[in-house]
Amino acid sequence: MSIRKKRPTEWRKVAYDCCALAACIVFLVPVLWSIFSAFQSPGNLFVFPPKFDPRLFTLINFKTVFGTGDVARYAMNSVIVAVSSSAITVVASSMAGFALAKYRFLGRQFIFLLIISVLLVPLQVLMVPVFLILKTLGWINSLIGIIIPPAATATGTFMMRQFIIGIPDELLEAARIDGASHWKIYLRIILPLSAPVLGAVGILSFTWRWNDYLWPLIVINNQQNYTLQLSLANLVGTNTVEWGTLLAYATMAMVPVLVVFLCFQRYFVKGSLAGGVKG
Amino acid sequence: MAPLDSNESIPDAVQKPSSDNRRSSAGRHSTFQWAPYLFLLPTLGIMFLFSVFPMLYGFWMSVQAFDVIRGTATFVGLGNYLKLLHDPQFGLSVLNTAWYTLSVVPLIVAGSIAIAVFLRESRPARLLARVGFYIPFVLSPVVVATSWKWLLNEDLGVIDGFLKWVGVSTIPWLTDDFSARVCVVLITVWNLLGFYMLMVLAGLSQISAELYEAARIEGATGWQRFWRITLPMLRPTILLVVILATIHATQAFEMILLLTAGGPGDATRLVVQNMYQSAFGRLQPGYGVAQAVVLLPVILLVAWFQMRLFKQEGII
Repeated sequence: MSIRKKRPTEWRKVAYDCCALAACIVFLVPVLWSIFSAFQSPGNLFVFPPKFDPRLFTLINFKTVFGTGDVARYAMNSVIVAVSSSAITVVASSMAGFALAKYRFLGRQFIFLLIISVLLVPLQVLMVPVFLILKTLGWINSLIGIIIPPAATATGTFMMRQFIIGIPDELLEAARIDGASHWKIYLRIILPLSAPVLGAVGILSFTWRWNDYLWPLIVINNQQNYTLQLSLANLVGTNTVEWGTLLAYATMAMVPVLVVFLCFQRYFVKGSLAGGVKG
Repeated sequence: MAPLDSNESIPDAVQKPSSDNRRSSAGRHSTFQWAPYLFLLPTLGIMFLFSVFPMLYGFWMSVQAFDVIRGTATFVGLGNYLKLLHDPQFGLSVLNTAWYTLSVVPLIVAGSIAIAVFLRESRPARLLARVGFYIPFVLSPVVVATSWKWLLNEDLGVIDGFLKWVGVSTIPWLTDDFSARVCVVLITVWNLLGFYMLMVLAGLSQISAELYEAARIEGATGWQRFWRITLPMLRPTILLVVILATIHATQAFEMILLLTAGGPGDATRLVVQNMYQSAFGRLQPGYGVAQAVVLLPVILLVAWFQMRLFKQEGII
């Protein structure tokens, strides 16, 4: 990558890598410290300097989390919302991406620009009218109200279109000569060939929907439809719950996303290079 | 023109393969095709219902005053907008949003370039950049706010614990106007930095090594190479970072709501939070939407810049 006068000697390389690692750990201190604190008993929580003794680790905070509400149910709601919303995103954006990449039709350019620009306008700005529309539809207080509205994403459509453009036209032509319909071409050629991007779009939108806070906040009022994020936010707001419990809850809420991120890390790189904004 | 047979609406790319792969089979609108519109239907449907229509509806709402209890709306023309002019709380939130954006965006640009330039030297460091530094970005606003509230907790938090330990007086992180503003900015930057750093890293990898080699032969110092090669070559990337970071900053709301709730006083209250509280807290949806409309020019301007950039890059 870089050009230097001399090739760096071995120890310099090691020293550099150690510096990079140290910088990274410092950067992550807020996360690491919160996770560390989640495993401390309430008595040890506020001790400084902290004792990094593994024997002092305890799961007691994770037990008390389940006393704060129907946490299993909130987790289930989060899973339902994240999985179904990203499934819709994958299907909708691959279909839209196919149309925009491989068809020529009236208004194609306009529709593409519209999708990118309109979907860039964040929910934050539209939340009042969107809330009223959801109310009219009767989707307030139901999971469907947080599943459907965010399912069309500019990033997903954009990523799918960019990938499908690269699929050779000859393949589609061969299929058409065999008498395949549009739908069959989509199902048998486009979908299998774009599996890597489908995965990327699905994984990215899973994390977005898992992390969503604003949608549940304006849509959900009754406790039984809370998602993990919403119930954690409400607990943080009340100031009546122990810090250890809150941090254990936060740890539980971030674990699925961290696992998905660490397993599918390269998809996130692709996603951010698609120039996408969160959402 | 292709004959009108039963397959007339098969993908054009299929019917007329052309030499130019990207613009295959251009300009054939004579036979109307249903298929692409049907494929676009789910995306366009959701988009229309939850983006386009709310926008239009929002404009209509912003010229109405609602009586939420009776469920009636009366036309007030520009009344809501005029009211905004005399609302000190709204004025403050506009000001807050302006300083917040103007601090967050440059810090993100400088920080992401600095870290990317530092980390690109070796393979393990680049892996750290992609994984370690990206982690804050995948965390939810709720988790980020909880973590930082714990760290910055007065008396109980680890930072104050450390300050007490070394014998320095503690700092009222989130309860003093100035330090709360600084904290909100820095936490936002911390949260978003990994994402932008990755974009810069990709931009850096596009710069040809030969340029650096030539500069080295000419005797350019590392600093000169940075200013004369790295920065100019990164221009399109930096522009994209500025655009996206501005969008991120103008919509910032959730994390701050949880961290400071706009406080102390109104020190960290941004426009979006003001809007949220007008509409849902004080039940004045028309007035709330009028505030969103005020934000719209900023968003449109940013979107316009993005379109231009995309056109330059040949994406559209």
